[in-house]
Amino acid sequence: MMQYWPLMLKSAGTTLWLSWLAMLLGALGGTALALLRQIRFAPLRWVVIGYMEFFRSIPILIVLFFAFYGVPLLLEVDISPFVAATLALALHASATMSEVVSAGIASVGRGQWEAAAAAGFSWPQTMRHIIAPQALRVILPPSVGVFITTLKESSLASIIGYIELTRTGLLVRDSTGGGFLPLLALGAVYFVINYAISQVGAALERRLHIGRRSDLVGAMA
Amino acid sequence: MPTKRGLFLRGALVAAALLTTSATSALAQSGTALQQILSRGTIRIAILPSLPPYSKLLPNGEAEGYDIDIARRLADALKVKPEFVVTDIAGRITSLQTHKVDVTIADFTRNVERSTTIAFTNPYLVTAMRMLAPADAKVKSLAEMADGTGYKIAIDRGGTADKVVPAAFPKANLVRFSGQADQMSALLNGQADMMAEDQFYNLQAIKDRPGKLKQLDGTLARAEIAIGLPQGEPDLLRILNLFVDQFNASGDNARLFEKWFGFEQPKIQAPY
Amino acid sequence: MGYSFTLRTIYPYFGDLWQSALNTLSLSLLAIVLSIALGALVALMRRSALRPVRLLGAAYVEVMRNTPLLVILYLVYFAAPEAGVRLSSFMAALVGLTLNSAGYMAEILRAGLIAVPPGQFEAAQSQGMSSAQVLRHVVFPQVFRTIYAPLGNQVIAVILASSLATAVALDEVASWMQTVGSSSFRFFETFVVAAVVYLVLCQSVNIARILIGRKLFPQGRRA
Repeated sequence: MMQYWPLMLKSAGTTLWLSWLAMLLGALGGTALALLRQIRFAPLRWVVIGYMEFFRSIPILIVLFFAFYGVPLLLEVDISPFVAATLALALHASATMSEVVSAGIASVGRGQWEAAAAAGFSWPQTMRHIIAPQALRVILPPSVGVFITTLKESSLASIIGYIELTRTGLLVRDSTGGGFLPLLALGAVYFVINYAISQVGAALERRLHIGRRSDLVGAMA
Repeated sequence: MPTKRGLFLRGALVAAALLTTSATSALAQSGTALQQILSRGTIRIAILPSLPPYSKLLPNGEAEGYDIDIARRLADALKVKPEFVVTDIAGRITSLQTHKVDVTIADFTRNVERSTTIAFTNPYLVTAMRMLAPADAKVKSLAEMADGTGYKIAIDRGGTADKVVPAAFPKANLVRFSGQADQMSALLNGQADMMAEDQFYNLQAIKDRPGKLKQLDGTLARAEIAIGLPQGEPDLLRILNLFVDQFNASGDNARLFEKWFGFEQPKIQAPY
Repeated sequence: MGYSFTLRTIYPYFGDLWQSALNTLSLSLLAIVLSIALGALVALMRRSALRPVRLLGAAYVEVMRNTPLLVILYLVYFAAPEAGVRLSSFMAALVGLTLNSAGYMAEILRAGLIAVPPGQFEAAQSQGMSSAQVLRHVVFPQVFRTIYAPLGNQVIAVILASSLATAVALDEVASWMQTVGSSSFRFFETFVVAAVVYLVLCQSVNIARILIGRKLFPQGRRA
């Protein structure tokens, strides 16, 4: 078991890389969705809400299976487990992130929009120079939570055969003749990573002087 | 904070580039797999590294075993490099269907139903599915189990056992896992009464865990183990069959088998 | 290749789907109820006057929320028997889901308790109300109002998370999808069917939550 530690740590790197990439794409997608929601055009808003509700109601496991097996069958494009996992996690994260970003934008008072308009700012200018800097403070802490959720969700990539941390832990168990130690070690590695991230998030919150701690933890996954 | 945003954007660009490059490489047209293997210089091989001695994972992340040695010989014969892709029971078929791999070499039983979606070579091994049980189990043979009432049997989700076991024991309680290691764990922990698996895997498992396991008398099904490949690839099939036939005839196969399993290989063509 | 969508090949498996859906439902319902109870206990531990008890409660919450459910399920099903705790697939899934969800429930309930200012308790008692009356008429309505929306989210989270029970060999909807997919080779169809089942389950909860929320809190924000 001990000689497998380097392998476990290397795969922890894989898990981090996968989750980070998915989180970036999810944040981009989520921001785009949140901006679309700002447009006062009902059908567009229904589409965005439909998208969010869809991903809120489907287990990530099914999204993963769909990305890995469904998309190649349907579109005849080849998708590696890595791309499938990144895509599925990013889709899931984007739905949550659009909620987070929307809340951030909403946290900036209506008055500031009006003041900016009065000062002759265009919509993109207002968004970029006035709304975004303030919204970011509200957006960042729950984003840390979404990242932790994504990291935990990435463990499901093991089920579609992607060799990340969980899968490596299981393979180590299989190759060392079973036993609960590899599983316990697996849990410990995840805990240490996620706990560290949540502590970084807490430090970030203190620096931004935001008093809410509960958003940092993400959701069950 | 321009630096932070720059980093973010760069990361996002890398991510987007990664996704598009792999998404735009359209699936291989059927009938060209062999050409692709040769021009790529690598052959992508699906393996199941939780199935010693067929294959298992080493601390350095590489796999070893009977199936892995066969894969290396195949790559040598084609003068290309082997690229191993770890998969699971269901993935053995779907990764061929979706052209994620060129061949599957993973204790893969050929049958007509599977052949409707993928292709198989001639067999390189003939084995049988048998029942593995704890050494202290009362039951000694399949015949004693009648219709399976009262037995909890661990099987592979979607594997050969998922067809064979319910047919043989319609009243048995099936516990489906997605790998042998999980089944073995459940069996040793008493969460299943027995598991249905390849007899050669069973023998190795019994040897690895002295005094804990036994095999029941009687076989559930004969199994011809072969190399899997995508359907509609006559050139690849032709070459693979030639490889398998020569591998069998030359005595290479028998030597490899003895190296990994520790006893003489049974006849590949069983007497009918 | 060209993939043609056909449900015909998977019709024979629809009988199993019903049984699987029942497993998903009963597992989720039990886990929700049990994790509320366990979560309440942990939330109270975190308000205890004893420091070790408070720390234990906090540690429980941190461990559960920073470890993937899949790993917890593996530990409960495959590792616990070595410590003498041998559970069936259903029980292991229930224990794993409950333990994990309780970490979130505890925080939801704690936030609800914090929302009631301590002064109110004394104010109500000075009006001549008994402790039980204070809890029933003053504390509970306010706690309930605070936790209503996050509780609904957690119920949905548990239903979705129950799909991981496939890893410990329970036949629920996600297992049905995998089993039928790999037996019939009709993966795409089985994804669609499983997705519809979850969509219906979760959206029923969601819509019920919104409608009940409107009834309960007519003047306030929608939950």
